[in-house]
Amino acid sequence: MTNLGIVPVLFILLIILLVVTLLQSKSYRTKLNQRPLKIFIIVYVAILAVAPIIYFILPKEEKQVLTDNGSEKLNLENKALREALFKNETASIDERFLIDEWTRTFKEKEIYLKMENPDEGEKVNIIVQTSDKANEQITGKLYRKNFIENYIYIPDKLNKPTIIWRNEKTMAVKNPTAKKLSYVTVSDKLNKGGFNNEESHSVVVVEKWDDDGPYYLLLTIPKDVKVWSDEGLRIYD
Amino acid sequence: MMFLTTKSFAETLQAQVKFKLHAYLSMVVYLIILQVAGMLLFLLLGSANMSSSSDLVEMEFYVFTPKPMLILSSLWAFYVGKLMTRHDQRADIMPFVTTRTLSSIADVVVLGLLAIFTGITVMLSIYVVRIIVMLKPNQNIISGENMVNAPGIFIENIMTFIVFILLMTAIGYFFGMLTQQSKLWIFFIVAVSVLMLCSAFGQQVLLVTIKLAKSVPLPLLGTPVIASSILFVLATLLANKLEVRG
Repeated sequence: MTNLGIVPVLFILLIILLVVTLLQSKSYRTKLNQRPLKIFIIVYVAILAVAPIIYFILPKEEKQVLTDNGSEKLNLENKALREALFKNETASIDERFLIDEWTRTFKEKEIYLKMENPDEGEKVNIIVQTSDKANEQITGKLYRKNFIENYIYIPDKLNKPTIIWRNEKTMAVKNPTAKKLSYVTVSDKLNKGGFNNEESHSVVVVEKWDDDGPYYLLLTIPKDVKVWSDEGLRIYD
Repeated sequence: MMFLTTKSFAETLQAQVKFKLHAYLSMVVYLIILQVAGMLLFLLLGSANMSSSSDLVEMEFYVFTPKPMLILSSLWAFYVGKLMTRHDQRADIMPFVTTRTLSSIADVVVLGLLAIFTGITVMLSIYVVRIIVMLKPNQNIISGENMVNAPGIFIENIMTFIVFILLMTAIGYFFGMLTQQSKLWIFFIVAVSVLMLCSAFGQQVLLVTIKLAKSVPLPLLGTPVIASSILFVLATLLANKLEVRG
């Protein structure tokens, strides 16, 4: 909480004080007539009693914090996705991982792959395949693995990386910018200090394959095209 | 002057409780105002928020729990407990009082009923907050413990709140009775609390007291219930010593 955060608190306390003093002065005058007070209390109690019913009736999209089993399942799917990509078994990949697909005519004999903002970390892994056909076409397929952060599975809200053709030979990949997401949880629990119940989660061991950024860009290029790249760009073939 | 002597103890008590509840109806309205204010405060600030960021996401978390409503309600409980002992309040009720002890018992019953009301309303008010949070657009809601997926917590919390509020009213009631004896008690209690909190010895005493209270082999809510009863009994004994008697 910043220092400014205290202002609304003071404001509301002031309002409470005003209302209470006003009521107090009024209640002395109208002490005998308690009917409005009774009605007020009954209305409040009725609202409170109906609130849980409304809450459970209203349609809602509530997300669950992942359990160990849940995150393990998603991680296994990620592993399978990675293996399928490297073994060139794209047909077996679930459609929900594929988020973008494009083709481009390419007549040059070599291609330069660049990272637009490499200092922002490796978020996109580029995998290059050579196609058997000499059809002068480049196909790009962008995949995203299951993205989990703070035990929350974030399926479709991330920013996508962009692909910029600087010239006919140079393709640059721009890392996606961070997306702002806000999460709310309301709990009956009194001492819910943290967002997760840390005790229920075991320590997650990060395996090597898990180091990959969440995006895979699978490039299929004609077989006679040479691939060049800057340092730091991971190329698999 | 009404004569209640021909009636039985239970009947007299019932009549008194009814009368006192009626007299403290405006207090319930204050409680409601406080709870609504608590909910508003809550929605503005969130009772706990934190943020975490990685390369791809900046996440902000807001956690809402019934805590602010409970704190505000317990302040109210202390105030009501103290108000019950105020001289002008007692004077208002005096024509209906048979004995001081009976009046004190009625006070305790009324405070108990108010505590039950408060405990339940505090717990239910979190559902109003839930609905308001749900109606806000562009938010990701993570399901938290509620009365369906964690009924144990719901019931346990209601019990705890009731007992806690009762303890607060008992402290207020006892404090009020003390100050009715002599206003010097206010000065004395404030001085002792400040000394307790500031001196190393006082802190030690507090810690040992808390440890003792925890080590007593009682169910979780036993200690506050017993503490409240002791305070109420002491307050009743004090009330019998007051100059104005019924």
